[in-house]
Amino acid sequence: MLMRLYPAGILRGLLGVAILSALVVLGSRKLIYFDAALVPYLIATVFAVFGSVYRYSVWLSRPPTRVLWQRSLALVFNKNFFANTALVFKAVFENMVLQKFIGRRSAYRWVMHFLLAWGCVMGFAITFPLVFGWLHFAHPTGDAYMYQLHVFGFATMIFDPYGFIGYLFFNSLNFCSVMIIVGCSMAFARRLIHPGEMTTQTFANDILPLLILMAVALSGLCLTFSTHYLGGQHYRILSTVHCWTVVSFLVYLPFGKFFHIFQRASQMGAQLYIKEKQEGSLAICPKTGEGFTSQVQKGDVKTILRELGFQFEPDDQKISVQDLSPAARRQLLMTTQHQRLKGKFDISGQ
Amino acid sequence: MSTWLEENDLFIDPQRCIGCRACEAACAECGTHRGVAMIHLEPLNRPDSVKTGPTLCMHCDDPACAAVCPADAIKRTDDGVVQSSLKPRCIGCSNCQIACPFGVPKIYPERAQMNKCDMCYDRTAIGLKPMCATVCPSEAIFFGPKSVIESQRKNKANNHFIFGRQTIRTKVHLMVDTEQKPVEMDIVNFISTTIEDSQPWVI
Repeated sequence: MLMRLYPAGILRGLLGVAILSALVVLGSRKLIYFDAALVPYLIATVFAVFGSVYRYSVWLSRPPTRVLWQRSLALVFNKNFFANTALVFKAVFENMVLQKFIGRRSAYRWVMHFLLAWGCVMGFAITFPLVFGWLHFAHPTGDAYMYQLHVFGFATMIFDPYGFIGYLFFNSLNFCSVMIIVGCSMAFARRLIHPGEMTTQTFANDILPLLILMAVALSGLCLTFSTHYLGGQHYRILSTVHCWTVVSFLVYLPFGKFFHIFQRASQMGAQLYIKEKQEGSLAICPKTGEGFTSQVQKGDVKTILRELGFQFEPDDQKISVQDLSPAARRQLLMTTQHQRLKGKFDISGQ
Repeated sequence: MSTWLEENDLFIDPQRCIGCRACEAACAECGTHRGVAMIHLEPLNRPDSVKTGPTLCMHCDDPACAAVCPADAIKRTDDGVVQSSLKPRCIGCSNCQIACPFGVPKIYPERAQMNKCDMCYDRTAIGLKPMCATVCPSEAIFFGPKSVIESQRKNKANNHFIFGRQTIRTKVHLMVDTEQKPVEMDIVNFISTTIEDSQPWVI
């Protein structure tokens, strides 16, 4: 079967690659500070950017996702713009930074996910600028001992490589690795003993990403171990192994479970729907009198269903099952059976 | 080769429900949503009737909940079970709850998650019956081959429902008077009448 491609996604993906390339050239001062040894990382990053932008475009083209984003923008850019913007920032801080909603699902999962998420994000924040040539270290002029941090080619702070700042700089990725190893171990343990997870998990979606993260973190730590305890022995092969584990991560990023990092942003739209339900016009169930959602969201869902070919409205278009509250819909099924059986136990009439 | 879930179906017969809530208690034991019952066990019209009935996910062939999910978090397995939301994806937006014609999904906004009946997939995937069907003393919820329930009951198992102009086919069957034609959900009549207006309670 031929795979159906999404041309707009390809164009946006290529645009993403072009922007990244321009930023690499500009940030590394026409590649003067670009480290050629990191080319495999850059190629994999370019692929990850293309794949992520492409998949995000495809994802946004789905009617429900498109409607959610359009509605989110409409709900933010109205007369309550400042209050809505504040709500979005608060939601970003609570959901993305603190990940409080995961804590409410389970404290164990919060610790696990927090370590994994922030281990990865900090790792990205350090690795990508180094790969792109935006950051590099060099000796200051006339001093062969001290180190100097260069940002976009501009000389900035000078520090002692064996001092506290130097320790933090050169071990930051080790800290990230430890966070990821602990988080991965907790995730593996959960996937081995939780009956629900064991039933629904798949190798490609749930086990493989953990194996990749573990491989990246362990091979990264091996480099430090080689430097400090093996006198640099095996460093070359270890750095090659580490490089390929990171490349695997970047290639897997757009197509596997890690893509939820980007999808999670739509949770801000859900927060806006909740606010609309609290402050806006309610959809009232004609059977129970219950305000079960906002008029806005009910209208959006009905629009999506129509666009996808569902025909829940009768010919007169007056009312559909989506106008009933969920409780009334459950009553509808029971009532229908009761009426079909004429209130009797079964059709024998008893 | 057909699987356990392809050979067996779930049947609900609310007329048989005695409201004992055994299904709720058993549902909360399910491994995929431990501690929280996904089944709805509700009175139909408490002031005038003792009638109760269970609602569990009907597992539609073309689930509206999955279609309207902006996070693409609801998946249907090859053996016909519509799974609860994928935890990494679900954003708790409630679209699924608003779309579902049977009023099944439960939303937990504080944890940004939807949960619903997944036919005890941790059990049914390995050849065991769902919890609710295992404990229901009156067999208002029954799990087994269609031929067995047809041989035991006079009511007919029907899994075609009409809402407006939409026909929904489900894995779960409702026991009604006929299997020849789809069960039409008359919403206008439902809104305008109570159950006692049309039929006296007889048992």
